[in-house]
Amino acid sequence: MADGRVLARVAASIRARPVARAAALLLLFFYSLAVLAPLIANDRPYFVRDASGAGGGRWPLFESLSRLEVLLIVLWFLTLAALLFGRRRWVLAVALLVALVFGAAPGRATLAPSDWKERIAAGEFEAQSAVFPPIAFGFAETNLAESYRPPTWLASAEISDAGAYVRGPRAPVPDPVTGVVPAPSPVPVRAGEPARNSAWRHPLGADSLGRDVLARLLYGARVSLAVGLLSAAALFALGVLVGAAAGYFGGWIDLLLSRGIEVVLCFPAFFLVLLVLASADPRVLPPAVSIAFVIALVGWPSVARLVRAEVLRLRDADFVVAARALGASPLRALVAHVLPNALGPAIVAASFAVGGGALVEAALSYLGFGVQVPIPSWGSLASESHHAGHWWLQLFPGLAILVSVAGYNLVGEAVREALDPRLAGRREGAR
Amino acid sequence: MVPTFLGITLLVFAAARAVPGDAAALASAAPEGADPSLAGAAQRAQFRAEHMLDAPLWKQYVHFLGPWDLSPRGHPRFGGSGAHPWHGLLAFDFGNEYGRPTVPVAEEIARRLEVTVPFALVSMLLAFAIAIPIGVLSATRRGSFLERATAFALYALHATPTFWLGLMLVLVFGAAGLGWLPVVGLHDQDATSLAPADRFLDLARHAILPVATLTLPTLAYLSRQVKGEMVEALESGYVRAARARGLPEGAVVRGHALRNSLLPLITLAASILPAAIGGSIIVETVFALPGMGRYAYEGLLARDLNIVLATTTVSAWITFAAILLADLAYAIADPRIRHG
Repeated sequence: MADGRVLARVAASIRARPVARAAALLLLFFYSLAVLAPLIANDRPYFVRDASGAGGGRWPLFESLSRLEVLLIVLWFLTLAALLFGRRRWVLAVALLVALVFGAAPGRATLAPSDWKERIAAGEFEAQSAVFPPIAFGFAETNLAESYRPPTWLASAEISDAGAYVRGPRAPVPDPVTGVVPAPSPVPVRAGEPARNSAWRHPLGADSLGRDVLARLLYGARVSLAVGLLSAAALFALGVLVGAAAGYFGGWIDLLLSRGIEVVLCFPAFFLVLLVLASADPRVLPPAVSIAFVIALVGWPSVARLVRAEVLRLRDADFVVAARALGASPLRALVAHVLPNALGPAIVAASFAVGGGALVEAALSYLGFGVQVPIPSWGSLASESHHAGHWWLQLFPGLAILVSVAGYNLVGEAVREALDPRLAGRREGAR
Repeated sequence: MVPTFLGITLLVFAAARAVPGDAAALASAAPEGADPSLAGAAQRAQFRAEHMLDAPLWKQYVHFLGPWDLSPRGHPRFGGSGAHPWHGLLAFDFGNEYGRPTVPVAEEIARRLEVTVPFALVSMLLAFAIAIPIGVLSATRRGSFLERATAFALYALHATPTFWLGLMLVLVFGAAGLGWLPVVGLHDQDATSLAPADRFLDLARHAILPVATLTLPTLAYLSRQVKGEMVEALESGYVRAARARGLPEGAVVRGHALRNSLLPLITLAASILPAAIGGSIIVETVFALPGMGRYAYEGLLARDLNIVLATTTVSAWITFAAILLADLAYAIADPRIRHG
């Protein structure tokens, strides 16, 4: 069960199950949206022509992309290509890199609101020539007149020329005592944005500062998706390291490590995550990365236990004894012979930890210990308003979490079918 | 057992002390709204000395373990005034809250546990009571429409963030939706004037949504485990043997397959408990319940070391006890271990 064959078996298992295949494709789609978020939702136009008529133009959106963003997008297309052309061995490495860059990417200052819409409105550029992305809002672009505007395809979101809601609970009513109707503030429609009452203006509504929820969901996907993958990878590495050492070397090393596993297992993981996270310094590590590592730090014991048990079972197996007799060092016997055969259950556990990590991140963000404003994550988006009247703010980010975690788990199921020896035995027994 | 216990206390202490900034630093960073008694630098220094925040770490750790109080007003043998000689885990004394110096943390935790433990127990029992029949039915009726529908629903539940489930329940059943159930706190404001029976009803109505929020994710996880165990058991040799002997299907399922499938659930119950306690932070925050999770969270926000240390230790103890109990129950329930 060398690593290439593990991946091949997992891939075959996913392909053989329609549900898992659909889930994997959906996740790829989510990841693509997250990676390409700056190209899909941005307050800068792709292209705009100079007003001078000389034919010159600018590419504001592409000019604003940082090197990291470009690297991320290139890496992502490499990953997709590797998947497409069957070079699966590379997929994991590249996907991990993508996740790592993800964690760091959204904080770039280059993604701050720009003045391009104002410059176009001021006549510096030809307004008709401006080509905006499908969602013409940046993730931090505010429009205070649209604070908590419901999804714009709803009748209750309709706003009159003066800026007042026409119907629904937010339509202005005269004050019962003085009879004064509160004066609305008109909603500014900037260059490149959909019309005031277009259904596409804010299809998922707006938040407290009038930011577009759909745009924020797209950028928030980066943190949420990256934390899941990164935490599972770190948890796997740590668990394998500890579990292999404990199982293979035995003696006092095993005793010490096993006690450590036991201690960490006793902890309500969530308390520990909160504690450790309160001490993480956002200047040293991007918050998304430190969240992922903290989740790994409390989650590794379950993987370590699995690896330890497998290594214990295998270390005196004939093929390992044979390797030792042929002169392999203990370390080489462990790495080259025992481990490749012992990782199955751990890989299964790690594949389920991806969704688990995403859930923990959401919960942390809900409590305010997640990534810091204005960087969105799905968890922090869902907890931006606890007012029941702002249901769109709670519903859509939560659905995104639910669908992605369900997707991870479905893929995890396929991984288990491929790698779990217990299931393999049962399948053969059933025949 | 003792090394594990010591390891727990060490880990708790290390994690709690790694949090940067103590309560005094917090007060100096945000003067408005902070404890007014910590306004000046001199008061802060005195506060640190009183709570041993300036003492060497090993001394703080020994102080935390007990049984001697090492603070300035502690045991005379260690240079204290003798006003409060005993302290720490071994003396079951976690000190007092920083914000309310007259409130012992241990007493407050006992009060908070009166909320958290019933919620956790009721939701766990409910989860088991519902998960076992669901799991059995999904294993015996594999492929039927009903099985697929439940599997889908459970899958979605399993992938749902707890806090979001709570928010959605509030949306649907709270005042903004159907308006059937209260969504905040344990009692209505006028609850003190109610008769005992009405008061209990009021509590029950307030408890429905939090309990549901705690139960549903556990339920989803458990029923999938039961189903897996049942499927495995139904395909095993002893079930085939039972069928071959001509036993009715109901007896085979209940008497043979189910009984063997229930054993691993004992261990599961212990492994769910830490998650239930951790999840209580979320549920207690969503529904504004005065439970222990909420207490830990408030303590962490206020950098109250006494609260943080106490809540974390207590929840680790509970988990440790649950694991031991599960091992014991397993030994009683499994004849192979009992006679082995």
